[in-house]
Amino acid sequence: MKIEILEKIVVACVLIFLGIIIISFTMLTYSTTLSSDLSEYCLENLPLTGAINVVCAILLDFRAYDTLGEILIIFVTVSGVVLLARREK
Amino acid sequence: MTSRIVKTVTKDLLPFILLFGVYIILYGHLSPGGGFQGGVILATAVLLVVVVYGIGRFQKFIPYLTVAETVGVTLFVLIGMIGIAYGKQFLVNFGTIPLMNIIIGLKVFVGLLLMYLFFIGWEVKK
Repeated sequence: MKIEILEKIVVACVLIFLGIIIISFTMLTYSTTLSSDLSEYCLENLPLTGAINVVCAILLDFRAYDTLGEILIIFVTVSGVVLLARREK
Repeated sequence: MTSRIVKTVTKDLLPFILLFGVYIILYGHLSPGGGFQGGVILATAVLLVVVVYGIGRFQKFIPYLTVAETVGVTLFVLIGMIGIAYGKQFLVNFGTIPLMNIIIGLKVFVGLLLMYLFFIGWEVKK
């Protein structure tokens, strides 16, 4: 009986600790001001990419490594699904 | 299982869904859209046919889907390596955005279709 109460107290303490961490990080990220040099750079160099769509230009020119990572993620996911869902006959 | 209404609507809507997906892929650099979104639209179109009409006619095409997935990844990396051949960095852009959109669209279409088919119970015969 006492062990259950102790468990509940420990879980409550852990959850409160996690909540404090998350709230503090959220307030920290909202209190800092981001520099807008990067977005201005993307907008100024948009004609050089040959694309009108800003999102597509960022995905395939400025952040092409990001797209490569996404493609590899899909590839690894499909490989895992095909391997794990295969049924032996 | 499926009613005549669902079959008729699927048969009539399928060309427009496929056309819309191809449009999203090919005009990705000019209008909102891109390879990922168009690929998902194409995959859902084929999945609709599979759910409504059964997998019968698509059975023989399915082993080629894994090949297309691998070819898509390889083509993307090779197009990135063209920049190295011209003395610039990896994945440099010199007008290859539509080509990359097409490759990404093919790859996402094939990959998501494979995952959908596995999740609805299709199985690989060894």
